[in-house]
Amino acid sequence: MAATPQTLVSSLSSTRYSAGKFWTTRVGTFVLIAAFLYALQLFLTPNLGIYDMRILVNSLLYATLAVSLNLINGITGQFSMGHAAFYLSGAIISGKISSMYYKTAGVPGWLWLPLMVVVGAVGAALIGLLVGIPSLRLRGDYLAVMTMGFGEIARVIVINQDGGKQAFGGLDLGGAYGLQGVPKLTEMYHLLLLLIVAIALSRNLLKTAHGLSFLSVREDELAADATGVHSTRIKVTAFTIGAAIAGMAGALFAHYNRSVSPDDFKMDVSFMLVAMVVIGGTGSITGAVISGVSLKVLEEGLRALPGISATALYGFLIALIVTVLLAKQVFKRIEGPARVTFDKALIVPGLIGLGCALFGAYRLWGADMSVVIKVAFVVIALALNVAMLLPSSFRTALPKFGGAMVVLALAYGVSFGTQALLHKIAPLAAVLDPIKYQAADLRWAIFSLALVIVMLNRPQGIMSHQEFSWDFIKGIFGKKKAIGVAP
Amino acid sequence: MIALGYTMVYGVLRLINFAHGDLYMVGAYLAYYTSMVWFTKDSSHPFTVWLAQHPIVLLLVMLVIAMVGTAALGVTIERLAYRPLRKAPRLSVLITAVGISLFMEYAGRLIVQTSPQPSIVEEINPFAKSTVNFLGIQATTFSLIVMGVVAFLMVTLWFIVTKTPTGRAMRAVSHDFQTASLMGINVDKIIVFTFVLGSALAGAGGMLQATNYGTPLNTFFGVLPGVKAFVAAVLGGIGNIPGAVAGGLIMGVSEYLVVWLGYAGYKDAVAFLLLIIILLVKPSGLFGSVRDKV
Repeated sequence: MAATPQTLVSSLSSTRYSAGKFWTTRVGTFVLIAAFLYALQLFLTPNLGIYDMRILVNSLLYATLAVSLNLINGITGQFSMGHAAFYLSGAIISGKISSMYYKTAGVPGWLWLPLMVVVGAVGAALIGLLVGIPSLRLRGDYLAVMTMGFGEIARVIVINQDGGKQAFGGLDLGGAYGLQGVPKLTEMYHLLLLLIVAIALSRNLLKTAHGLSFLSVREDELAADATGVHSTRIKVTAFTIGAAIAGMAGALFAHYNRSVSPDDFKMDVSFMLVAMVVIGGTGSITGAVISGVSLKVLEEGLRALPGISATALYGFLIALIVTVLLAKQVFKRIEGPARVTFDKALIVPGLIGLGCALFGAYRLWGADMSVVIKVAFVVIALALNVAMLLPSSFRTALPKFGGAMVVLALAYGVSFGTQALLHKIAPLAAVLDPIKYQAADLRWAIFSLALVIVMLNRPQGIMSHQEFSWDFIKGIFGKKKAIGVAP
Repeated sequence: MIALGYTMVYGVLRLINFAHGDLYMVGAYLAYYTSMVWFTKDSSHPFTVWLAQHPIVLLLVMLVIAMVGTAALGVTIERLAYRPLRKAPRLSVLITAVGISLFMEYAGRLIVQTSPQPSIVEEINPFAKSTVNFLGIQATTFSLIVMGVVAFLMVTLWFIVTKTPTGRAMRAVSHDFQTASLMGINVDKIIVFTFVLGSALAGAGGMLQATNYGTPLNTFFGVLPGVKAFVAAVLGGIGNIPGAVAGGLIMGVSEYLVVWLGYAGYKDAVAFLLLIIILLVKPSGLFGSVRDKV
């Protein structure tokens, strides 16, 4: 149909901005989502054990934090290593008020929690402002050190507020033991809701002209200034919004955990969050969510590892090396030498992902869960891995996936073989057999190794600058030229 | 001491080497195991007796082994983890460094003894007990030795960096490594050399610390010193050798001052507070040049 001026005008007027409609749509969507999540919560609670629920809650929490840090680190390009400080301040401020006034205030829990979330957000945002303003003078690594310093200072100050001599004005935040007596109000769906809000916020920011100015500050601050972007204001805004979201997450955490201990907010937390943002791909919201959830699940899931004997460990390590070398050969055969340089990057993370997925599936299979969730988990895990191993055209995908499976099977075989062999060689077995490794040490060793391997193989992060969209999925399957809408 | 190593690696590579604190830990452990091999309390072997009479020999051997061992480890890390990422975004390298650091802390626990936490027997180092009067100040002999070793290493370092051809190449790489490579400098070689120097310094620092107080060792031994050394390096202007020393001194003095004032709980915060104040006044550190402002 030819676009006459009339149709153009009418189509414009129908989509014209109207404040009333805007807010009804937003509030309506929000309520609908909340209701859906509440239903999900009702469905999941009996099906998940307390332990699995805790893992879920934790991973959601970290995904939210990663998204909020992504706003500062990824989108605005200000390298902050003190995100734990905002998280801590949100938790401690709201937790303190809650533990003091919740019982006497007589406000119902469903109203009190949002109130506390707002309090946490405002408190953290103020602190974000405090950090953001001096940060304007600094760039790059100096800023990183400074924010790291702020994070540490915040924690040390909280540790010292034990109502004793060194506390400011006799303030009692529980000192090193942590703040106790916070009512438990947070449920899993609150966290999911917050995550969605955080994602929506960053996404909407990126889609508008405001977002462009954030990105321009990341790409080139001087050029941004020259083209009329108020880079100072942008940076402070980024810090404040990021801190506010972290503060909300903190408030929810305080009301979930029922106590706030400074030990939960060490420098490691900030590092972990930076790792999540970088591994997800700086600036990619999807990446932040994916890596936030998966890193946390990996970290917590590895807790279930049993203590392992030295023989088994070395058997496994040898198998791992063999597998990687083998995988390279297999994929070279499938693809031919021309494409190796590109897809090589995907092999190792793909295999590790596959291993993790199978391990997770194996673990969940035994857990007390409904069949639907089990099947869904396996399907999602496999789909993720297929996507990971997929080349840009679907034609070579199947042999590749088959190759991955063969390699995996071989790896299992080699692992058992080497173990048996190590047992057979008497002098070696005599040394190795009595040694047992603690699960806690192994857990972190594996975790950090995974971190390094992912980074080595994919320095730009899992998603690099891309976002999840249908075009992206189509791009993977080769139906359309891959356009990662690079923001 | 560790700040020096940090600043070396950072200056050339522009990389915050989080594994540096762990090299410090490895240095301490190497010293411990060396002392265990050569010196057991109840051995009456003539060599042990001789060693007990000449403790300085053993200390020197421990120092050398710690330095060589950490240097080798540092180069290995560089080869395996950092070199493949030479052209990658700097943040990815940083995360890799964090990963390596975590790996060394936890995988290290699988290998070395951590419970009970070992410490180097005091007999190894009689200097830590004896005191001397130096210009009216009471000090242990060992602290003087430490000062001497640090001063010696510092002067050596300064000499290498400013007077030798290799040092000139290092400075060139630090300015701009693409141009440097065009000028016929083997950048990889220089970076390896930097890692050797930096790691050896960390190892020496770890060894000195471990022998000084009979400090109990565990694999997290290097975490806090690592972070503080980094802060000290930034304080003095990153990539700047005298700056790193000055930064280290300022940090140490201010921490003792706070403890002396009765606010021991805030000890760790003060170093950072100082850092923030200095960075606010002079954003590139005390001795940093404007060029460093990335």
